[in-house]
Amino acid sequence: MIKMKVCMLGAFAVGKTSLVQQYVNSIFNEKYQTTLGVKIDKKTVNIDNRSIELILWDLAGEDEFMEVRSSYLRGSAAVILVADGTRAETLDIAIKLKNKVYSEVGEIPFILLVNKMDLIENWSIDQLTLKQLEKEGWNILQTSAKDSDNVEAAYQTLASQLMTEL
Amino acid sequence: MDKLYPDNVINKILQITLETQTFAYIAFNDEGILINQGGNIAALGLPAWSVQDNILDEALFLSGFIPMSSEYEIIPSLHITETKVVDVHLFHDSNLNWAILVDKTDDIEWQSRARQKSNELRLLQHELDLHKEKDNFEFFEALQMMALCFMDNGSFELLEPASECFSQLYPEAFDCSTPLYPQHKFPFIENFLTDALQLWDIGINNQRIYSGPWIEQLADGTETALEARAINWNSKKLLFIEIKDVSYQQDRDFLQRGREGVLLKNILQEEVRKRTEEIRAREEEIALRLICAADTRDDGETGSHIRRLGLYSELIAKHLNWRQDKIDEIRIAAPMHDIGKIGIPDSILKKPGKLTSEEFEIMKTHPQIGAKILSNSKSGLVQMAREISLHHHEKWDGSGYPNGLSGKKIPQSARIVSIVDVFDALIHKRVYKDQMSVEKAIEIMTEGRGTHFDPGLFDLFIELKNEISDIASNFDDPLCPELDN
Repeated sequence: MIKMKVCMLGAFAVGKTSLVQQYVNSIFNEKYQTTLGVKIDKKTVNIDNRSIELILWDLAGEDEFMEVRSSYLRGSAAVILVADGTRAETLDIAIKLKNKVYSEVGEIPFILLVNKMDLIENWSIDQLTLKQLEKEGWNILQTSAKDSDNVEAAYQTLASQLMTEL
Repeated sequence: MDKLYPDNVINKILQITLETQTFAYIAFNDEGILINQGGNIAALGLPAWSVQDNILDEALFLSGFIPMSSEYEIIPSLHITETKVVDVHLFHDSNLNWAILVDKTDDIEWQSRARQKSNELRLLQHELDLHKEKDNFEFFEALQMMALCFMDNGSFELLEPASECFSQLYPEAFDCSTPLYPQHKFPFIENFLTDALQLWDIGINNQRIYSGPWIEQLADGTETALEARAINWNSKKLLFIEIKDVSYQQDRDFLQRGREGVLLKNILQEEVRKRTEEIRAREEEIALRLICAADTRDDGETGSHIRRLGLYSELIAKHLNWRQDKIDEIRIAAPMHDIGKIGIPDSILKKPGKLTSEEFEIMKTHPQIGAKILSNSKSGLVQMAREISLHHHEKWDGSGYPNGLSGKKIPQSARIVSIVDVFDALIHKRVYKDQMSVEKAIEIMTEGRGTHFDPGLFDLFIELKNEISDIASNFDDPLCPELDN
């Protein structure tokens, strides 16, 4: 079976771990629990009768206390950038991390998940900015790890993208 | 010279010296016939020879040395009997062979004992080392650490028996018969190995790198935090894997508290921002509605003009890199520029024809009336509205009113409003005139660049022509439509 390393990247508390937990184990924990270091999970995806195992590297969120180690990105086939719709600054961090990936690993496939759709009334990320990013070729999905909205679709979309590049 | 001691005294001293010391001498000829002997012969365990005895059969230590050369020779540490060890000094003098035997038994005994002690110490050291290794093991056990050595074939060898705490996590480590490949078991180690190999290849002794923590899930669903470190140590490529239960939890709690603090601060800031925005929107709406009401006295404008004025001014202020709070202020303050017209009589304000010079003088007082209405306020917004109201008819060359200020003596807010006020009036229809195209308006206004208008601001206004035109066409709806009727 084909195995692909996929890194989850984003600011802290955007829901990276929750997205992985919802996707892999179908569970959601309301309480925010910060990730320190790396947690690796696996999930097999079937695309057109072909299986691909995603090795999901859930990396600690980036903030002023902590920066994502470049060595963790090594060997990544794709990255999932996560931003929190209720915190506009997390989109800036996602954009910065995408640039970091491009310079460290190369132009690998990526998808941006704007998470916390369940709190959409509190969103501060500007839809115009998202539209602009889409115009620039960004693949963007709005997700809710809590309600599982678009979570499966996000990973499936990325896996399909990876399959087409094989 | 007289002898101090007689011969018999000297001989006695010699006898005492010789016999009380553990050495002896024998003198013999080339045939081995004893000629003389002395010293402590008995103490050395030698036979009780008599002069003229042939000693060669019993003094086996002399074998091979007879006949002696004149060269002095020494045979060190010679076992002459079962229990005695001597240094044998041999030399030939005149026609006699001499052998002086010095007892070294004690020395040898001491050496032997020393050797024994040394060996005992070595054994003890070995035992201590064993204990030390045991201590090491307990040390590793206490640290919940696994020590591995990287082999050239890519496998790892355990340096110490695996700690029990790895039994669930890495059971393969308890099977001593197979080489270990933790990089196959843990993707994180596989990734870290790239850095470790680089470190080991460089080969600087005692240099180390840390992987940073990672989390593994056990079969029972519980999670364990680990950290690896690679070390170069005496040409050995060592890898330590440590379970970091307590320290990880502490670090994570610390980070969590810090991040929760940041999140709370963000939430509060966002709340303050929203509330401020609400208050400002309310202020803006009240101001616009009141101004709108006042302006209907003038030329039938119903608020769209003043609203656009605020937006044009906001756009220019943004491009002048004003602070956001000042940008917000000019958006609300600019529409108040003509508030002083409230004090101008209807007969003048609503006069359809041209004003007489007296009437015009009265009309020219509206900036000061406005300034009076807006004076003595502590609010930055009202203060800005006052300066705009007072100075929006001043001209760059000083030919304006009410104070004839020129150049940068005119507040920038007022210089901005004077441009956009004229522009918006030109491109919109009034009861006394038709509307004009944007191009025509700009053409007319360009004549006033540097005389009526601040040339720098006017150039910026031209640069922003497209955005200005968008505002002009998109904000044409009356703010207070009910006043239209």
